[in-house]
Amino acid sequence: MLKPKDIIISGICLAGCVILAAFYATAYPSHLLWQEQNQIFLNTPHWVATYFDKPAWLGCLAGDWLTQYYHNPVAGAVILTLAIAFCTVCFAIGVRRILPGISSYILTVLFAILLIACSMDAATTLPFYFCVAGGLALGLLQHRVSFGKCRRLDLTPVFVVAAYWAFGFGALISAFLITAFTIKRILRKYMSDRHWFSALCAVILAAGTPAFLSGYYALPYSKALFYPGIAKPALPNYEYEERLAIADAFHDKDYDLTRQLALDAESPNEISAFYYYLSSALQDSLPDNLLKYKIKSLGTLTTIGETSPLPVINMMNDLYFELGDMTYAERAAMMRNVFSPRNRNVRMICRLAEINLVSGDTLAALKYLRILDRTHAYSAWSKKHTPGQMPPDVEADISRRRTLSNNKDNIRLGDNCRNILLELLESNHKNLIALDYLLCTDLLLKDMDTFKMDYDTYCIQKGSPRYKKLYQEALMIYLAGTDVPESEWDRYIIPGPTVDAFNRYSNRRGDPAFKDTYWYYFDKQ
Amino acid sequence: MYFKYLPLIILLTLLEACVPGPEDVSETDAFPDIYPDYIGVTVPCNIAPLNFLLRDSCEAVYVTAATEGFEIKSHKKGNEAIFDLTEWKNLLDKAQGKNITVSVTVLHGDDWTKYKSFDIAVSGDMIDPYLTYRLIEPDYEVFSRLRIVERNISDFSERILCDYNAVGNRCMNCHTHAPGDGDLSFLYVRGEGGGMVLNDHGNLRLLDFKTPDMVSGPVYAQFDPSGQFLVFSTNAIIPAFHSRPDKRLEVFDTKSDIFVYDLQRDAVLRSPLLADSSRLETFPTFSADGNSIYYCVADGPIRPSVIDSIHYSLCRIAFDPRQGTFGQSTDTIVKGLPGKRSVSHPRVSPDGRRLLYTVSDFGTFPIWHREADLQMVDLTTGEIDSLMIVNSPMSDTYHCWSATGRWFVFASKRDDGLYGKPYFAHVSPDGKVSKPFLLPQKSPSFYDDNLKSFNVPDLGAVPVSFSPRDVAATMAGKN
Repeated sequence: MLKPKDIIISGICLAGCVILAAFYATAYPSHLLWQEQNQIFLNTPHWVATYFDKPAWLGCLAGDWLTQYYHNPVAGAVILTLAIAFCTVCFAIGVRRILPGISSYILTVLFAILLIACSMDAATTLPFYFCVAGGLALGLLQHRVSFGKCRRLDLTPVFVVAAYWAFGFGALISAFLITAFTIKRILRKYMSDRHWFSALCAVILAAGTPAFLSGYYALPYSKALFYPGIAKPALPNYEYEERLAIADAFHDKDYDLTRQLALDAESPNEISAFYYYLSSALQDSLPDNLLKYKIKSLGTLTTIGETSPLPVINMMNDLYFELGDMTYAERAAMMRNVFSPRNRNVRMICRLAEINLVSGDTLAALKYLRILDRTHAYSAWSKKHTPGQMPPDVEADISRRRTLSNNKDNIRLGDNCRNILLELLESNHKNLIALDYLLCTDLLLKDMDTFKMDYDTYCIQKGSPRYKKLYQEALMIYLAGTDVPESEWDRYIIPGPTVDAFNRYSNRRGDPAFKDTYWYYFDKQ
Repeated sequence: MYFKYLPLIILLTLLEACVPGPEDVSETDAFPDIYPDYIGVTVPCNIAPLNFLLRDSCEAVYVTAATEGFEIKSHKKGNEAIFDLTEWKNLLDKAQGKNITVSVTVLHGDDWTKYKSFDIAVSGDMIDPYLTYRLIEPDYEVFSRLRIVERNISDFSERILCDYNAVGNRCMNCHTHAPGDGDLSFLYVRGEGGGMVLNDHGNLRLLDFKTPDMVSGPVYAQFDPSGQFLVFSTNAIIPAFHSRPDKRLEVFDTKSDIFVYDLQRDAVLRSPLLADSSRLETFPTFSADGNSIYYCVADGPIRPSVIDSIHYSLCRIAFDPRQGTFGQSTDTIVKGLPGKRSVSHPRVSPDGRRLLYTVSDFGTFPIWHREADLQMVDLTTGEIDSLMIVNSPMSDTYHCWSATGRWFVFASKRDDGLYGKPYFAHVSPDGKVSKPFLLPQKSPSFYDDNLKSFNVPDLGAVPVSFSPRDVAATMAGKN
């Protein structure tokens, strides 16, 4: 029969867990999805065996295996909450054996807050919590063995070495608990010499085992000691969550939602702007929306390398994939994979499969599809994308992208996006996404000569002028700055309200009433 | 090292007990669709078990491998055939100089089907049992967590020689053995504070012999047979991308020269014929007697727009190891042909009779050229073997001879066009080359899951005696 106090405490804990899970599921789902996308777990014996190559195999294996279920944000929220709850319960049991009532409660609450704070950092992975839990559990088990019915059997070395083997830095936690239990008994004068030895042994082994095994595991001592890594506490990063959510909406091909999230962003930035524009381009409205977002970031002036932030590499991968440049989409995907834990990122492996399907490189595509087929969450996706088994919508999407991709061969020395856009348009001048990115980049740079040259080359000379309001406004600026005859105006400009507005603006240059026009942007921003 | 697989082995053994045996078997005339493709290959008598998987989805596989009067079997659920190491070694002992006949019977649904049996020829010529390679993603422009590994190809054990942790996650070039001496070797760590890490039978030294007239540190390097000299090229390398996605990367040199480093005298030896500013000299290697240097050369300079008109020829220059001097003229052994042939990576067989090299349509980086193939020239007759049985529609390059000259290993992208894997081919005394086979793995699905290229495979007769910790200590100046 539970005491009323225990019922109240249990109720508070349960409510805390529900609130925490609800927070993760509603306010932090993209952080959880980021974890899932930033790794891969293959359901094969060979893959599982690779976890034995490093310490903390059990913590990492259990953590990575469960992380694949983060694909569903509710499941991810529940898993993370339970992991934190389990760590907290283990800690509470341990600390109650060391400290009196109220102190143990306060410490337990602080510990739970610390763990929750660690989960706010996108770099904290589930294996961290499993290593904490494993270390605590083995420390408690050692206490039970050493001071319980089997007290004649001193298994401290076994527990600490096992803790390192299975939970990495968890061995330090086990040793800490064992030492704390010993000190408690010293203070109560219950100690025998044997327990002194146990505590000393725990500390020495927790510090010494990583040193002894660092050669075997090919890790420097500092990394071996804290393997797989200690998480850092952080405050909730809603700005990062916002960015990730926008990228996720784009990944789900929900372009309306992407644009809406970008417009609603409390901290608009380069990434929210980028996805706003890319979604607009895919809805044939980039020129219509170019001036509607306060940050101007098309990605066409961005280059990536080993120091680029990971979301920026993702961003450039999306840009090149949508433009149709499979060479640079593959480069960004490879780069993103290389900088992921264990050099694998499931979103990029899917993307590599798509890229090779578009390129017609079936052997390479099958390589990635086979890997995905061995996962829990992407097996069905893999089958849907396997040549010969594709449903019509997938096949149509691949075919559409094929028509956009580059069929000219040039050697590129860097990621100069202008050259890439020109090559794409040389391959297919009907690639409107590439065309709009080219023309809009010219306009953001206020390079009117280049804009006019590009417009002439890919719109006028190809017989498909693009009558977008933005381009009309820009062309008026260019034409007004030259002495071209009236016929030239007729060639480019459609008579109508835009011409009238330009005439009015010419007399009121810089008037904020025209702030939605390119003329105002050209003059004032 | 097997203790780490213990829980899995116990689990698999328990599952193994429930595999149904073949009953009411129907036969087909087709060979099974197996991966790796071991049908009709020639293997050395000291190779690890040739485990394989079936590309068909099937419920169980029953495989027998037999030679005159001796048979072993693999009988498992799923699509993998995995042989016991001890049984396999017994089979190889009995099959030396003969064939192993492999029979594959699979369970599809409720029906067992027996495929046409195939042979594996077992050569009595042993292969050097240690293979080193660098594990790296195929996109060489960026890297992270590189590793150089030594694999014992007689079993499945492997050892890390250098790990990214030991060198601060810097770029490492591949590990190269000296001919005939497995424990004299080097690797190169790039970046600030880096240099060539020379392994002289377990004693590691960091060498930095770059001089101001060199455009870079050593890029392609080889020992001479005595182990006293290192011939190396210094290359100003430009990585570039093709806009066509199927061509991917192109890497070219804008400058390159060849030098020889005398390890005993700590001196760099030069020849104006190997450091001509108007030409690009690269891929040097010593002849088997050490009295000449083979290398590749093209006319410079190179611009990206004309990269497809650059064709390297294979040349030779005399070298006197006693005086440390070079000949006054060079010979062209295989001429680069515009639009057809650019030569790279020459390697002379240990008996000095043959030279193996890569040909591609142009340029100096065949690893991303699908048309890149191996060829072999008989140095006594000048006859060129196009090695049709060895080559594939994908890149085949980065080859290395075994100490006996009866085997060579090379990196081939034949399976997926992206990831290089080590293939071995047998060369008979009369120069006949057999169908190559892929380095066997304990788990046949290893290559399917793997996302690293096996870069520059290199054979060694003995294990090298250093570890990542030794490399780290050497880099830190503690050796």
